[in-house]
Amino acid sequence: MQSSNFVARAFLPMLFIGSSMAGVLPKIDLPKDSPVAVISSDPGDSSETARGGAMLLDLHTALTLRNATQRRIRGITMLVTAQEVTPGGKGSVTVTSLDVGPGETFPVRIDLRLLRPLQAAAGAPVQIGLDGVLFDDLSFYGPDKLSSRRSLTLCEYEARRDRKYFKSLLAQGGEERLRQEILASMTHSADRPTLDVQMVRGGRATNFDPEKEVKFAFLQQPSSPIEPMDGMARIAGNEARAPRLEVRNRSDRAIRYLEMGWILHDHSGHEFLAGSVPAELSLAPGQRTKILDNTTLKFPQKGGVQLAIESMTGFVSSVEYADGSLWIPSRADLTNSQLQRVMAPSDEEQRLVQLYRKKGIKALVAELGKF
Amino acid sequence: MKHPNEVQLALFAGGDLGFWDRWRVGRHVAQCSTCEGEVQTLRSATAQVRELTAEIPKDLNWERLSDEMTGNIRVGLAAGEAIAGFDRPLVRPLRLGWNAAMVVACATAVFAIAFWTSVPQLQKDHLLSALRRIRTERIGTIPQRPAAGLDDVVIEASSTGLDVKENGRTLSLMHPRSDGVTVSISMKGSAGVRYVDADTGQVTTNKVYYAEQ
Amino acid sequence: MSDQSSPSQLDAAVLTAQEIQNRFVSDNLRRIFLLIYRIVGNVADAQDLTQEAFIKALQRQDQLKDIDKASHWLSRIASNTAIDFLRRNGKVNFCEIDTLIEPLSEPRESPEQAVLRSEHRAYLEQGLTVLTERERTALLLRDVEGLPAEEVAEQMNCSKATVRSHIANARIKFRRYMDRTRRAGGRKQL
Repeated sequence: MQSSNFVARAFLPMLFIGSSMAGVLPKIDLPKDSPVAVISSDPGDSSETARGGAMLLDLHTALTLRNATQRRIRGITMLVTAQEVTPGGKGSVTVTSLDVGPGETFPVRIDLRLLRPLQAAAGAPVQIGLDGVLFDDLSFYGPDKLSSRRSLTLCEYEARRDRKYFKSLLAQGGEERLRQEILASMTHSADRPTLDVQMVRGGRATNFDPEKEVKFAFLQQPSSPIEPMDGMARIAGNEARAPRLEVRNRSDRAIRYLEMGWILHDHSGHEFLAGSVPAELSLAPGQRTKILDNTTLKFPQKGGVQLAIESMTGFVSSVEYADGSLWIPSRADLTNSQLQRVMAPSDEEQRLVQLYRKKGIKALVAELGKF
Repeated sequence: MKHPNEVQLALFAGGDLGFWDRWRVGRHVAQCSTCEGEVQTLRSATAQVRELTAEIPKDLNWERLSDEMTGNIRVGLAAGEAIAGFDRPLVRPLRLGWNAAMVVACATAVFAIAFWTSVPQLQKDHLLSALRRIRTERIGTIPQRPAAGLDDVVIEASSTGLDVKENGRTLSLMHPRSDGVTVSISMKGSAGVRYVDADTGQVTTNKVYYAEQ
Repeated sequence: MSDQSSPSQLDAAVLTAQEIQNRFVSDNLRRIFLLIYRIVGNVADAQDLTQEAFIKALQRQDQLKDIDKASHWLSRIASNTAIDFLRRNGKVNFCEIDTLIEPLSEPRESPEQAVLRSEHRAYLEQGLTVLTERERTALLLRDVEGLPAEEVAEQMNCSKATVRSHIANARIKFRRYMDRTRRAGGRKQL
């Protein structure tokens, strides 16, 4: 019943749109017991245009969702699929650092572009579903096909860590101290280099630079339950592929997942966070294991400059214990200068910085006071 | 009831308002027949512009013009191959034996010279001005990317969006231009772009994945 | 079945590339010409610029492998080419915003003449001449080519806010023109 009401609402705006888009609007499919309900779905300026022998679909969907539970929602991940276009590929839209109370609504925006053949099958080319919702008590709902439980929980851990940190600054040094820290965060973000990157499944070479094996250096992280022991990857010009890492569980708890951050250094001394190397594993206390990956990362030219990778540094970015609890670097760990240069702020820090930019220090202090 | 102004309605008609403005104006339009009529009229005008621009101008002999342009394009390409200084694409060149290469080069030169001496002056002017411009200008603003094989699944992440490409087809997740866009890659097979939505202030992360997820 | 020797690797490669080129041109020529024509406003320049756009595009053979994206990429080259032409020759600054005022002169052709000639198309074409080059370019890229406002801003090298102004002005002016001529000539709305 709810879905049929939704369908009626979703297609009502169609009456006002000149071109017929009914066949290409996304299909939104939420389970019957979903903790969120779709209040409205605005297709906005979605359009379908013929481009030579292909159809270009521009889909812009603004969803309004309502919290249908009695708990506060902290994060949500929507799953986006286009089976006909990329059967093996999918997308997601995640909104974190939420604080949505029972019965309250919030927006989720989905902007997609698809290129598909002109002779396409009938029916909605795009399907939108729910992968997961995280609540303030860290409980989770959803099929979790994209491991969103872990990623949403990680974000919430980081959010709590950073809010606690900013509140401590406020308590110790007042608004001025908090402002200095926010300004420092903005400076770090502005200075942090960014790269466009291409990832190809498989270790096939696509350039002609000579390949060399390069060993990882590792950051010292005494509080980390994982100790990196050894590692290497194959480097050729602007490509890095097939990282191999050996790690040890130095904690007294079993570990089932870890993520290693991968920093690249080029020949002129610039550093970039290339990506993360995740591993699902079963690692008993004291046990060692190897992490192998066969993916290639490529960094296209930017501003006419070709990246030439010289060396690499690894660090532990997150760990999940067998009981589901998580370890993340503390704020003290993040003061490491190398990490500070390359790591982006957490979602919550970015949200708070943006709040300060738009509304000032008073609004930021008020926001911190809510938690 | 306060009506949206003319500019707001014009932008709303084409979906060019920001999220909250669009929501506010949309609510008003749904309840106000006057504004709804204005939006309909604006959209009808746009539809007529689209219809018009799909038609060949009156009194233009399209068959003749398209033949002329197609011929000029072919000559321009052949002549352009013989002129040094053009940007070369980053592809592996087709390996020719020296004899075959010499034959092709001579044939191209002979063809180009023969055509050039016989082409009408007006067409020649069109071609020359086009080649001159190409020689001195950068070609487009599309970033050059190394080509992956058609059967590879490729994920691309940049500050403008995310693509997952498979067998020549593409699914892209876009995001609005905003400051503080953060790109992330997981070797497990996903790429993400995080941004703060300027309309809602929410932190949103778009990700694309390939099959192993 | 006769046994034919297979073409040499070179012949096959050249034939395939030529076929791709021919198909690419024939599939896109009319659309690209019309896009450029509507931006620059005359056939001679539009011909020149269309040829230029295709020559530029076809010199990137690797881009044609992904046919699905090649057409979209070609549109970008075409509109960039036309806009650059306007900048060089018309000294048009796309970042200036025209104020939304009624044109001082009446359309060259009266509504009655347009109706008498039964040229709906000419009536609409007249409406496009009411717009400035900036407004017309923004309208064509946004409403006809369907590019997002961000991309239009990038191609016109101005801010998104400026592009929105151009687009809003264009839509309003065109709509006012249609309304005015409809009232003047009792023209039937098509």
